[in-house]
Amino acid sequence: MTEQSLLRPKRGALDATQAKRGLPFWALTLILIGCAVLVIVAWLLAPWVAEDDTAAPIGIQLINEGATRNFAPMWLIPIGAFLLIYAALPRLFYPYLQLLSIPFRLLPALIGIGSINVVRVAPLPLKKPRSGSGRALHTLADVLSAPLRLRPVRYTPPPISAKAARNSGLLMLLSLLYFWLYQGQILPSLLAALSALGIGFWVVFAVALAVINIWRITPEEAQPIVEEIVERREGGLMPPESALARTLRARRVTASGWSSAFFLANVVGLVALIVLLLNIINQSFGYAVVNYAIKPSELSPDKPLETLSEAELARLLEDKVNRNRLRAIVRDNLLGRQFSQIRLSGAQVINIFPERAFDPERSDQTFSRALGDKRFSTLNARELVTVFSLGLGIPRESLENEPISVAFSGKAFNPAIADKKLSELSILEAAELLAANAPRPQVTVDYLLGDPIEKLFEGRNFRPEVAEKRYDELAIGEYIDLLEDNLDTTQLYRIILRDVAQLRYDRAWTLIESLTNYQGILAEKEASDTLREGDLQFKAWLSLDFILTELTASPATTGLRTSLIGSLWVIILTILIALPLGVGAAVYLEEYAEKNLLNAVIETNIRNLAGVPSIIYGMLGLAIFVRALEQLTSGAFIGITDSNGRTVISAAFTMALLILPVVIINAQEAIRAVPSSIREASYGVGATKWQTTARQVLPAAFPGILTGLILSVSRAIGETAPLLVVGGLTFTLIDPNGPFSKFSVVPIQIYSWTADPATGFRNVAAAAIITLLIVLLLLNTTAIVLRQRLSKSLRG
Amino acid sequence: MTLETSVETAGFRTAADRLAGATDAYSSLNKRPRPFEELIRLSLFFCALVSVLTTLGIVVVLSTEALNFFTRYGFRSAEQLLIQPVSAEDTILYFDGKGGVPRVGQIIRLNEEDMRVLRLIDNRTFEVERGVLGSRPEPHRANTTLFLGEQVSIIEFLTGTRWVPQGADFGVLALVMATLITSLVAMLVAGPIGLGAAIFISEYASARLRGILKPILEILAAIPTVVYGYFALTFITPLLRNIFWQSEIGAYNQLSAGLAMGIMIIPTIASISEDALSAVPRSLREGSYGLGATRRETVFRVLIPAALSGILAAFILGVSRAVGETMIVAIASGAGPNFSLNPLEAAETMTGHIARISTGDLSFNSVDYNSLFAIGLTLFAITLVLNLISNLIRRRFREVYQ
Repeated sequence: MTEQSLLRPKRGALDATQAKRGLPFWALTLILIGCAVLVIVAWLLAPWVAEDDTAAPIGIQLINEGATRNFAPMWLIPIGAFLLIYAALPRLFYPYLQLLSIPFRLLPALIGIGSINVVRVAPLPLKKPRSGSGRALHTLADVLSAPLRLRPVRYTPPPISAKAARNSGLLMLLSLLYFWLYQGQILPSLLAALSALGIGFWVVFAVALAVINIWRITPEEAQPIVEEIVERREGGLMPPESALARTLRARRVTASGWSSAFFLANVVGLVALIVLLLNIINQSFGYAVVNYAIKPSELSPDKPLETLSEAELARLLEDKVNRNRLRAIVRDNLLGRQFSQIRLSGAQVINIFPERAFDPERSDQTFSRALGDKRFSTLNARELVTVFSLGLGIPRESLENEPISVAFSGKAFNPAIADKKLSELSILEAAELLAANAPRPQVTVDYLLGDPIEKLFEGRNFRPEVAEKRYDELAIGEYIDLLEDNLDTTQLYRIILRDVAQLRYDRAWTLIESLTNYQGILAEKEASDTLREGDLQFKAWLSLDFILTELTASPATTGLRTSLIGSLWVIILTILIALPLGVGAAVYLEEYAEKNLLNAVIETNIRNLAGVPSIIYGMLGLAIFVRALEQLTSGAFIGITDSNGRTVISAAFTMALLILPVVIINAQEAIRAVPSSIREASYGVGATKWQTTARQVLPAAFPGILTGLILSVSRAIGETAPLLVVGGLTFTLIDPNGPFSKFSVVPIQIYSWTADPATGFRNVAAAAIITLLIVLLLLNTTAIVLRQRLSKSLRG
Repeated sequence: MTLETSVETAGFRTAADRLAGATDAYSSLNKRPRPFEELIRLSLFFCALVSVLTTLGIVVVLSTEALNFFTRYGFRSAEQLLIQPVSAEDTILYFDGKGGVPRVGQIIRLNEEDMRVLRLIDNRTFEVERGVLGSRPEPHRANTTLFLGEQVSIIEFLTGTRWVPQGADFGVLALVMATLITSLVAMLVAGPIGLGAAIFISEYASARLRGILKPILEILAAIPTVVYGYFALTFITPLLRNIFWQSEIGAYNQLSAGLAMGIMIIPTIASISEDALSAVPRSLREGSYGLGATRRETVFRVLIPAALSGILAAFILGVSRAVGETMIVAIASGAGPNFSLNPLEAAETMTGHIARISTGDLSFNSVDYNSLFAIGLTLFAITLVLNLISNLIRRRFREVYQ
């Protein structure tokens, strides 16, 4: 970084091409260590034993054993961070140390001796291995055991350089800024430092440069100097040595200033990454106040709730829940919260005759608002008359007084009811009558009254005696039968926890707050009436349970399984579509295409497609796959009826188009890298073009193709916008089970949870983000390992 | 004799046979028809064609749906009532003349029926063509409200600053402005930092340091954008509120979305600029050092001018990523279009609006559905223009070294 090294060839200039090939092996090690750290953190913070839910995890318990039950005072954190960074990047802090050592250096100078006793870290008595992983391990051991290797040594301090003093001043200023900003909030001040570094530093530099420019001498001032120079040159004299030295010094100051600025630009990126990850971990763990509408111990005083059998749980539901609530519970858990109300309980009057919607101008011809909102199945005799007379245009008097055969003469009706009056009909008969005469074909008996159980629960378990009944007619016992027949004990338990005990989190604290401010948390809990009733417990929002549980509407019980399965389906189908198309296109462009206009257009087009915003692909998918090809993508052509075009397969096609350019470009590069000698040899022994391509070129290019594919897939897994447009659901209860099912994916869940301001959703989102990032890390690591392995075997 | 002849003949035949064989062998060297190979070639060509079809699909879909948007009618009440009932055949309508008056040729609507105004007899009496646009003539009672049909004109779309679909206001500038502001903030962060990082990595860092820094930037690039959105909402916004603007800044604002987007774009700009800087031949650097220039002087006076095309292209690519970025703004920038120059306010960008409107079961053929494609077309046009400019700059400023 110094100007002294100007003439030395840049280190590593020669292996620039090597560096481009990808992550070096140590980076891989770093990633793996990162994974391991994440896992350890998760393990440390996850509830230790499931039996006692309220206990803090063992790691926290150990930490909190101290008298104050605080893990660490706040000031330990910056010091710890400083020490960690120091261990990792000692070079960064040399100037600091130099500055700190000034008194020590001054002292010997004052008392006239040349050296002093100082404490230094003795070198690790192990040879540093050359290979990457061994080296990384060595470094790790070095850092970890450093405190054990402090030795007093005789130290002769080097003279303090001007540069060191300046840099340390800069660092001091930055840390002052940091501590000034630091007012009990560690993360905000970290980002403040980040933004100060990022934006502030550049502003300062711009201003400084401007000032320097202002201070530059004007032409008038320069005139005598120029004349002097001309005079000296003519006289064979150069400027004096001191002038040269001054200029040189000024130039070096600017140069080193800029070099720090360029370095800081990188630091900003690094800090941003660290803060981003810390913020997510910070949100995924921490104390939370858990509260119940009815405590589980009250629900089942004799036995713990989680040990009850299915029958006992069902009895509990029967005792504690009223019919309306049960009706909603069954709907939410078996059919989905957003299940069509019309299929469930039948149409509203307004749905049946939309043209008769309330209009103050024509109040005698339209339904009143209240009547319009009523469901057909709940109408009384008077209201039925109004609906029939306005809807079908039959005079009121005739409906009230005359039998059906007269009132409906010329219209369709069942002969069995011909002699009854409208008011004497059962609601089912009325529905049949209306369906037979309705102007629109979609008005059927099922539309008016809701689907019967056998249609609602098609493919699920239900007792034969309720098959014909409508959903709203069921008795309490029959609702519970439905739950019992379709769910297992754990699911029932969760339902009771969520819907009966109504487990909820009233307040959640971040990890840092939990570790450093336990007293404050206790005080806050005691100060509030609602919080005081609940139990304070350490909640690991990220846990195996969270990953394996299905999606629910409450952050306390929700899980990631539904959307994980959705992501899996979409990605697998995407690969199945994109891989053959992408490789085919790459083979064509590299092996077959002649140089003509068409192929040039294809090539340019692929490169331009990579720059199209992903949401545009979503709109393409919406118009083509969801809408135009609905017959195919909804599965209607193979007889699936309960779906529209917003399915897994539409999403997969959209995603495949999105990643196709990247797959093609990567595959092209891989194919191009196959030496032509392999092709020539293959042609030489008489192979055809396709034989050569399929048996020689593609196997040789396979590692590159695979790496490109994995990298683009890891991109696709995190992609949200196009799937949102194509119709990924933000809430669904049914795990996708095929290409034609509706779906949600992990990023969409993260989006919808993040957008929800209720307590707990952000924490759940953070937990989902960690899961997603781990999946991405694993995928990327796989890609790198594959690339290393396969390219080695190819070369060998 | 016979024997000899036969032997000769045999000999002759063998030679002839050989010759014939040779000719056969020779002719077999000609290209043989290989239907299977042709089939393969064709199917591979089809694979390559898919990308062209994708582009075509995007252009066709966006433009046809946008065309639907510009040709469909929105109806606004004219605050006028019919004073005489009309039968299905009447073509002269009498109104109370209290509200807005249609133009000749404009579409008007009474109840379910659309009509076209043929002649204005006076301000309250119109002659109309009944039952246009696929509706059926039907009788109307007195006191029926008159609705005036209006199409969204392209001019209005491109220059309007209010986007209120319920009020038939479709001014895309309200959305474009938010896109511009968030992108500007993003570029203010990502531009200098990305370029600085690129310069450091390519000019200052040792091979070892480069090996550390590049992967870190790559990790930043690999993080899904929804995570950046989360970061913006749960970290940057509270931070800005705590430190800089306690009360002026809302829970949703364009500034934090822009900042997060800036961090997201850093690796894009850094890696492309770094490629451009590394492509400058070493002889130029050596020459500069040989003249006694410092590193900074070399960077600013030699390398940046030489790599300008690549760096500018990187910046423009960064802008085009910022413009097309969806999830960060959808999460952190707020819902609801807002034409405002203040980055501390919430405002919805083009992409954010598309994402919000299209979430859930959006019904086809609704105004919302069609308007999405008009916005999408605008977005596509903007990114296309940016890409073209980037190509142009690359060509215009390219310094060719061998």
